[in-house]
Amino acid sequence: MLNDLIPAELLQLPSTWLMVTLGAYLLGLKLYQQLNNAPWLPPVLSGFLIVTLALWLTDTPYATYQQGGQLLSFFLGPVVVGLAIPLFHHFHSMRKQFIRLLLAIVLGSLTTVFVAVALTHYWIGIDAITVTMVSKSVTTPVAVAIAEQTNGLPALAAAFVMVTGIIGAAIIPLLLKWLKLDSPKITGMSLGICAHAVGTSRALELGQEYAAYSAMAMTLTAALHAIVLPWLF
Amino acid sequence: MVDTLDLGSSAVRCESSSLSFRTKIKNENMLVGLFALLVFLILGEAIQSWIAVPVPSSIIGMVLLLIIITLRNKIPTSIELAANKLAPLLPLFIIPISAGLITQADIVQQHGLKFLVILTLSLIPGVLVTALVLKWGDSSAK
Repeated sequence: MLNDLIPAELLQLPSTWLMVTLGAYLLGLKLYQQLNNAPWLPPVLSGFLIVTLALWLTDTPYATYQQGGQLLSFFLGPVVVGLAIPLFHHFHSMRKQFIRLLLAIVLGSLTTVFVAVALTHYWIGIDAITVTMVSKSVTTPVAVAIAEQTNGLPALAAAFVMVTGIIGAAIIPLLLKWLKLDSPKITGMSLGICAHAVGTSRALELGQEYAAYSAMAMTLTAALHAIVLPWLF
Repeated sequence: MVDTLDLGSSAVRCESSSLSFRTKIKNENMLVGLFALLVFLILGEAIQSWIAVPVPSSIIGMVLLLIIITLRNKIPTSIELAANKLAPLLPLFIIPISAGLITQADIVQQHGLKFLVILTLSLIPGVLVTALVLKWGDSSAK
């Protein structure tokens, strides 16, 4: 379609796709700010849509795109290593009630994962997808690392994480309010455990205390799942 | 999330110097931090290939860094600086991975609706268990 207008060599260049990705992200960021931080259109979603549209319009294979794209996704590694810093802070600030919080994180997060994996196994029954479902409740960089480790599909893992985050951030506070279980600790922890970073930014809107619990739960869930789950699947 | 930069020792060292010099020190410090993160990442990679654990190498690197920080009971300023600079850019780093969904278009087309149902339904027991554990813990503590 667009191929006739754009010289073919340009579409082969890694820097072209680096430029497109950066542009898509900046556009997505602008859009997000224009919409007053609308939770249903985070920059990662709009950026993804723009990049995918560009690939589709120019008929570019993903492998060609990735030569530029991987220059950015490479940084996921250092970001995951850097998670040690919030983890250290959380260990400190939550020391007193640590055992109980840890128990909630272990039981809560493994419940949602096992239910999702069981449903996928019996309803869809494709192993690669079932394995990918394992990382649905952890923050994307860790989910991608788990999916690569367990021979899942990293792109699908990123999509599961994004969808889980958006749905979770929308329904978890409502569900807990409806059950009259709403509190900074319970709602914050639930958001962090089930809806990771998207849930944590929702928690930030509810209040600082919600956000503190959510951020801790999210980081611990990610570390726990990455260490434990690859042995099981 | 919250981009709080702790200038720490480097800021103390160059109190009297000009702003541009301070920025330069900060940038250098950030590179030292990035270098350290990469060292831990590569260490994780090495350990993974030596003892063949199925844990992702970046997570092994994270655990190593956590151990070092816990032993020293202090976070090196440069590492914190680098991590705080990288974290807000996370969506940018994720876009190229998620664009890979284009290669899985038929899976999404075929099972997309099921995915939505599974992802939504599985949240409910997770939230309930979390809430019950915290509730039970609270009442037994009183």
